[in-house]
Amino acid sequence: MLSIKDLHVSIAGKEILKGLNLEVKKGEVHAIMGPNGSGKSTLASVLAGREDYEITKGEIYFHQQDLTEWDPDVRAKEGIFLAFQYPVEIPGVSNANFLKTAVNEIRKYKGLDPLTAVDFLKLIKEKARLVELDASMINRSVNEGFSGGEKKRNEIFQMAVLEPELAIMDETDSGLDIDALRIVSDGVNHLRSDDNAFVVITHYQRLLNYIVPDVVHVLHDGKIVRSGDKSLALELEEKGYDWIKSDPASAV
Amino acid sequence: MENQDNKLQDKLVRQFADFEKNWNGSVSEHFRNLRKEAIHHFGRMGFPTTRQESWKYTNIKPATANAYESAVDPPEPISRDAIAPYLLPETCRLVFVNGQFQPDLSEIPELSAQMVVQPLSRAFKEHPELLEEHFARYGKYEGSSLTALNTAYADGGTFIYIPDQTISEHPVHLIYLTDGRSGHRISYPRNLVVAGKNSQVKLIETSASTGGEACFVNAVNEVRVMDHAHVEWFKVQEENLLDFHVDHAFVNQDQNSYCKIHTVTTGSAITRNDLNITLNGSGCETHLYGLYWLGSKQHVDNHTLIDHARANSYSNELYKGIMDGQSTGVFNGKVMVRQDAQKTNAFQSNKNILLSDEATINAKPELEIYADDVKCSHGATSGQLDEQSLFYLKSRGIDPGKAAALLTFAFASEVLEHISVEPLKQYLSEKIQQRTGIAW
Amino acid sequence: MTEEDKILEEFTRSEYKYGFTSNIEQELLSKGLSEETVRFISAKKDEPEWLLEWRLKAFRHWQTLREPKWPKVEYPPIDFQDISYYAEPKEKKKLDSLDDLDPEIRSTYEKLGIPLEEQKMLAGVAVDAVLDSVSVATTFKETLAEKGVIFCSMSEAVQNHPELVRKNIGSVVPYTDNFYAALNSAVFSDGSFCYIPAGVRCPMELSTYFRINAANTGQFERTLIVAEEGSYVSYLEGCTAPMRDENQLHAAVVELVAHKDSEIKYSTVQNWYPGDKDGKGGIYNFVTKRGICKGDRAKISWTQVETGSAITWKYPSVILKGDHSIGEFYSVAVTNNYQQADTGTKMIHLGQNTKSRIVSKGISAGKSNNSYRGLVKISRKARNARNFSQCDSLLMGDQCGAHTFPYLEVSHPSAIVEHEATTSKIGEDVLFYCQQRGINEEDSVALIVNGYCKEVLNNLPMEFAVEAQKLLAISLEGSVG
Repeated sequence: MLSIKDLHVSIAGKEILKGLNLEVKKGEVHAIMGPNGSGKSTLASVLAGREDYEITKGEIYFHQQDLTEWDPDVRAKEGIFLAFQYPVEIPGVSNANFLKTAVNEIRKYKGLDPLTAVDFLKLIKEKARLVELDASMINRSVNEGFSGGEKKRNEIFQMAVLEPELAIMDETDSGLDIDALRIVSDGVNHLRSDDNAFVVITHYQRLLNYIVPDVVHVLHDGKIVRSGDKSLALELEEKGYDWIKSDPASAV
Repeated sequence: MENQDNKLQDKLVRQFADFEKNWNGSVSEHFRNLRKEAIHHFGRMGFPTTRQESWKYTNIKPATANAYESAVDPPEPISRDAIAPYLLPETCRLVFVNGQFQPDLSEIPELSAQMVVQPLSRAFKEHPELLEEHFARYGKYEGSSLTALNTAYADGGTFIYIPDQTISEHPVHLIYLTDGRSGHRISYPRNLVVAGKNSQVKLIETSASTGGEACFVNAVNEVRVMDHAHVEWFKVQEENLLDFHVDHAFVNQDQNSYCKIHTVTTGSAITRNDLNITLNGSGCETHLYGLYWLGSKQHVDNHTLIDHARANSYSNELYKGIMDGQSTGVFNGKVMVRQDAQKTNAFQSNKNILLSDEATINAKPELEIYADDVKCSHGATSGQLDEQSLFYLKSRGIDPGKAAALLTFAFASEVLEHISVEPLKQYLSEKIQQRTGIAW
Repeated sequence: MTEEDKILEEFTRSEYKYGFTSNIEQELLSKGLSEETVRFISAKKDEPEWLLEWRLKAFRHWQTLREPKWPKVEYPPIDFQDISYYAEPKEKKKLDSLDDLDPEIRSTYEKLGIPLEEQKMLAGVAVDAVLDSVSVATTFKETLAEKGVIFCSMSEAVQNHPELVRKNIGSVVPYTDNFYAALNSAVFSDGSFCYIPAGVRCPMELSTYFRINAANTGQFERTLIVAEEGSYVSYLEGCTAPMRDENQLHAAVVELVAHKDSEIKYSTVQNWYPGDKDGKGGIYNFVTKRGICKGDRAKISWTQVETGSAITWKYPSVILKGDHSIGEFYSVAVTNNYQQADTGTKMIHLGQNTKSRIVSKGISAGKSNNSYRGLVKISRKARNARNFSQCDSLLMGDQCGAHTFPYLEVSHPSAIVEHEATTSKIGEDVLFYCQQRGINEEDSVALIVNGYCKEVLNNLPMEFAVEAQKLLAISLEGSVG
């Protein structure tokens, strides 16, 4: 589904990703771990198409299509979803209105008729239950005045409504208490299927107790220096990132 | 009144000829021409009137109704007691009376290498090239007739020059005393401060008076803050309630420089302060703080302009006013962000408390913005002491008068706490406390 | 004086003496403004003597005034003698079908979602639908008449309700008020008159009626609304459809009189021709709008969405005279290309316990300049007055300007006055977030801008709120990217 080859990315002239390779297939959950500054969030931003990031070398394919020239909204319409590390607030725009616009734009792109108000309402009620989101939040402005936990839950709620093929979760666990972490993880696990894939970016192993990954990658200095199964995450937790930092070569 | 205005205006223009004669060829052609042009300009423009937008709320006619004379020479003797209340320890001190330098009352310690702190009149003779380079370069008089008048007559005042890489050890304390004991006096304090690259200096400027007849102070200050220089300037205005004080300041900041200005006003019948800050370089930082506490029929008008001309600068402004009696406070703060000044952050806040039924505040915070990638905000409020806080204090057994005093002091403290010269902070805190009637 | 001059003077005088008005049917009023022009207009409308006198006083006063220069707008000098001050209402050119309409205008109608019937009406298509609307209008008229509500053109009001007009005209905006108010008072063409009797809640949004009956009221419109004790009325002026007009200068006056316990809600959607992309042409819109809360507990609320005109210069104001009276001002002003807007409000607190609220949202794009200018005045006697103002500016593009000039004048210690203003760019983070959810850039901008303006749009009558949202999006098309 997603294929990244020798990806080099710079921001403001500074190289952050230095030859990253990643293959994600349908039905898989990949975890990407790494210390601060290793390039985790850059990877998420580049996949979603944020400006300011310059791809200096390498390729990114989504379903065998080069996505690097696509606008962010086209990527979303093609089925790529980014759960933001810092979801923004949009004053005056209700969650319902926001999502309805998004759902119908995506449906239009796929040649489907827009959802009727009734069908849309049914859909969001069902999905809200999934992440234990209070119904009143649907009528509030997007993320405005939400707590950190509510914002993250709202990200997963949006993910549930938009049903992407590839979901990238950028440090969704940061700032979450254990209850919120459980709710978010339950939501994700519920959405997992053979037709979609997840890239879970995290600094800590704890989230991976709840969202069990098929593959764990360790990112260091802009490259994946090690890949393995879920036990790698535990090993990393035990030994700390210095293990990778001090001797990346031996770790590979 | 109209006539009186013209009378004073005509007199000041006429007297310039006598003033000119006294130079006896000691003034360079450059300055002779500058002063002539300036007085000409004043003669054409006259005193400002409330018909001008920038003087809408301040009528200076009462100030121009008196027949002022310049200082007499030699000046009347003045005792050390007259300045005693304003003295601060460990400063480099210059004292002026009606604009004339008083060597006996001044105290200039040995200064860091090459640093210059001297009366402007001497600087004209000793540092003509520096003056030619900087004098009247920042304080353009075209837009202000009072600046023109000062430019024509200015010789009382201080020249401060801090060379590159120099840190001024002591704060420089300038005391400007008006002496109206033998009649109405007009004076033209003029300070020129040039802070070289990576230099640092703190200035304290006290304006006070001895009493007597009403005096008119028409001051102009020019400050150049070069790359990475750090200037802090504290203006304390506590003349008596007959006096009139007009003060135009022009600050030019080069890139990565820092400037902080405090203006604390408790005195004068009418005070008008104009702070014009131009941020000519990127990466500048500017903080303006103001406190005005007025009673009886006092009138204070604070105009500030922060002109962001280049990118990535930051400015922050906090002015607070307490108005009692029949006093009037005016705040006009303008933040200008020019097209090249992307990534500017500018914040401005003006808060006022009215303590009496007959007090007035006129506030006009302005934003004029021509760059898009900016974060700017301003706020202005007027109100009374917070009812809930008052109730809380009273419920703890504090009597209403004292509760109000405590809260008023707390309101003022927000400005005072940013003063970095400890003895000055102490001095002002005590003064404000006295005024609130708090005995500690 | 030469002999020739004397003859000329006598001749002109005598012409007046023998009734300049007698043969006006044949007269064609040429360009220029003089007492004769004023007399001509008044005579043409068959106005009573007092109104003519009032117009003349206004004209003489106007001659002593100079054009205001303080607004932050720039335009070439206006030659007031080069304007024609009276023209017979022109019949709109009838089209056979909507297909004959300028495709650009038609596409805008469609984007706005204006119903087909209304599109035809706006475009002046002669079809049966117009007949329907006439009958609809008649029904409205009957409903209003039942309640005693008077709603007619100013000219009709002068003929049919002269005492009401005489009592109220110029009572809120005297002709001495300002240059353009004086000009309007001298030469006003027509406008609306609305009177709500005591205790009556006007049974419909007067907007609906107004829209169908929108006549060509000319460039010097004058509107007067009087709400008697305990009454309520909601009035909407203008419409979202783009309005083109041959007259470049528009100087309207609107006066609102709210008596004890009454409420007037006045909404405006202004979409006059803003000029082309290079700033050529466009309407100069210099308007004086003011209401007075005359009695206790009266309320006046102004809501405006301003997207049109090359230059907008208006400050809908409220004089809060009655105790406990309330004034509100909600505004969205959009400027794009070379448009200039200097708009805001004045809240004059005279009575005790009076309250005012100001919410202004400015959006600048292109090479435009958008200024908020407002005054909050708390007078000596206005005990316990409250004001809250929020003025936000949104910048789109680095060639435009956004300015805020609030004036706060407080003369009572019990007043609580708060003003807040922010200026910022449309957030790139927010744009990216919307796009990441599959919404394209243009729609994202529209979504964000509508959210930003929501507090104001919520105050518009329902059907206009929807259109106004679309209007904002259309006005900002192509301004990001």
